[in-house]
Amino acid sequence: MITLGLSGLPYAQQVYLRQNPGVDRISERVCQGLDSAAGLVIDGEVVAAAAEERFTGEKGTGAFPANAIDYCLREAGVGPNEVTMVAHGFAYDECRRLLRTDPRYFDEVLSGQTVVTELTKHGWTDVADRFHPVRHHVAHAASAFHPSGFDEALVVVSDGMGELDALSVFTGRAGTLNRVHHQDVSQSLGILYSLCTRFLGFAFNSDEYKVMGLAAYGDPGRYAPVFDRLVGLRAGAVEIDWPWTGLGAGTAGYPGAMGYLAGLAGFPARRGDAVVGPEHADLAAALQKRLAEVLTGLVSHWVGATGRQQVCLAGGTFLNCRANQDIAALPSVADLFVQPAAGDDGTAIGAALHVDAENASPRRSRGRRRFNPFLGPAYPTEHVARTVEAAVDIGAVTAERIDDIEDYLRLAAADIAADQIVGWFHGRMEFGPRALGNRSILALPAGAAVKDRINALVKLREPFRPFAPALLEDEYDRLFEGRPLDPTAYMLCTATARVAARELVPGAVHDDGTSRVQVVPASLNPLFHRLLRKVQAATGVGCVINTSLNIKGQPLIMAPETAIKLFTGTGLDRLYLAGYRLSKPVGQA
Amino acid sequence: MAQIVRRNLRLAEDHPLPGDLSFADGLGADSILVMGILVRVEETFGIELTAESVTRSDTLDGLVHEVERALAAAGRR
Repeated sequence: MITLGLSGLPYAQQVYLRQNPGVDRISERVCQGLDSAAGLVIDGEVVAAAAEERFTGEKGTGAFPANAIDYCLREAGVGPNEVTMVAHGFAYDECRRLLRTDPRYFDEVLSGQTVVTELTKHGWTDVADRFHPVRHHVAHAASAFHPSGFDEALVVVSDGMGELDALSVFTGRAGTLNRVHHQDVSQSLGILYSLCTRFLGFAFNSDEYKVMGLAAYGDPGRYAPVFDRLVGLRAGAVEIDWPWTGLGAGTAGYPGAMGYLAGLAGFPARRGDAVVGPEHADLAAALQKRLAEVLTGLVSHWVGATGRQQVCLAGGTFLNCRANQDIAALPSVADLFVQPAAGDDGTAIGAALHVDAENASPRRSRGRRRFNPFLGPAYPTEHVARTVEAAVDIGAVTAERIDDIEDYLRLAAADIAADQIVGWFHGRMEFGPRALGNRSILALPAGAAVKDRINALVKLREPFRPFAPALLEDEYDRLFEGRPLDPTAYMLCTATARVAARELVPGAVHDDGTSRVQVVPASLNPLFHRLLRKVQAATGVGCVINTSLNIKGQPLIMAPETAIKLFTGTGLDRLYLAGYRLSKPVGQA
Repeated sequence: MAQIVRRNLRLAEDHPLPGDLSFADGLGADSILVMGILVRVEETFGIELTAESVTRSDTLDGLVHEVERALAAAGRR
């Protein structure tokens, strides 16, 4: 059985921007249905998945994922007519009767018919017969539960909102999900966090990770009473004590909410171009602390109530790796799986997995093996060779082809050991927001100054944002505390740095003494693992800074052409591109 | 039913709730909050309101009436 999964509402942002002309940049994403993606599931296995942003270059786009669909089908070698079912990670039509939405808006934006029409426009036939809408939170839950390999699990979904819900709790067993608790949008932890993100001058529904990074610089105590009063947890239910109707939902920029938060904080909303001050960091710290407390309390309650100690998490809220650290540390949580594409892109594979599971004959458990996040495009050797030759021909780069893999890895490790900033491009692109060693920028974390260098020369991003370490499993215990649960394989969970980490890899330790670690298993990424082994041999520590191969505001690089463009346009010292070692021409380095 | 309304609108347990008070105009509930009430009502009573019922459920009295109607239609009254 072949199931194509799709995420996104193709017209949501377009209509929002049309209805709110001149909206400021940080309010451009106050709508649903962004992060469109496609994923292909064949007989229960995800064989391909990619977000549309990687093809168009528009970060977080909600545009119909035509390019991602084409890629998935091409990767699997199937045509549209061979696809058994099309699953979509929204099911607004079944909620239509409960929504008092303008019918024209519903038809133009929310109805599944928009997706059917788009597929038909792209040459698909008989789509309506194969179309299966999946409730948004069910799609999120399935994206975590099915790949987890757990036979039974507690599954918690938290995000801004699905059709009606902002929080859902499921139990999963034998491939099926049973919802045991849910809460509507008025109690949305995701919207609360996004509103505070907007209040702090960052983009709603986009820059929440920056607030998480900023939190490390603040004192949570200063504004703790604000969030302690605002957000509570009672009997496993989130309680947000805010005047929902006064928040200005539906009006660009949530003006009511900005005023409300200003009243609580005692200072006005920060403009996006204003200096980030201590009050902003303190507010971020208090928000982050309260979010972590509420999420750990929530998971703890439902583990107790259901007796399920294996926990799956999905929904954009669980991209908050600092909160995930606290959840992972709960004694009652025996094992944890967080879907690497925990945001809405992940609902593409979740919807497909759910429909596949509902329609397939019972299968044996896939067992506890790691989810493979390398689901995006890879490029044939000839394509890479042509691309490199073209760049060499115009004098943009010089290139060496290195056929011996040991030599290749040794050279890369030597460059990293020599404190060079290295681009690393190999194999299939990652699905989800994190670069996990196939589309990465790597550097030696031995000096704290490396952060400023990467920020200034390559990433061009805010100086307060941290860089994460990728390390060998056998380095974990000497560098970090706690147990490296599964989320560390996907850079989804921070860990507390030991003294040794502060001494040996200070460039990868954040101001609050944590790091968003990636423990690299050989089984998941053998080439990157071997590189780390070579770095260990060269420097004594099998650890590098690993940040995504892109610059601020752009999606992760997908293709060799854009990788070379990024290399030539930034301060990257070297690019290792699928067997080629690229340098800048003399005089340009 | 009153308990569901009070809980979803975060009103005090003793908040007066005249049956003809509009959720929107009298209690300030927007479409999201009304939707939350309707979802809970459906779950509590094990019914599915029709789109027409939903549009008539603007007050507690209206909601009660629509729930009774749905229960009767389901043969559970």
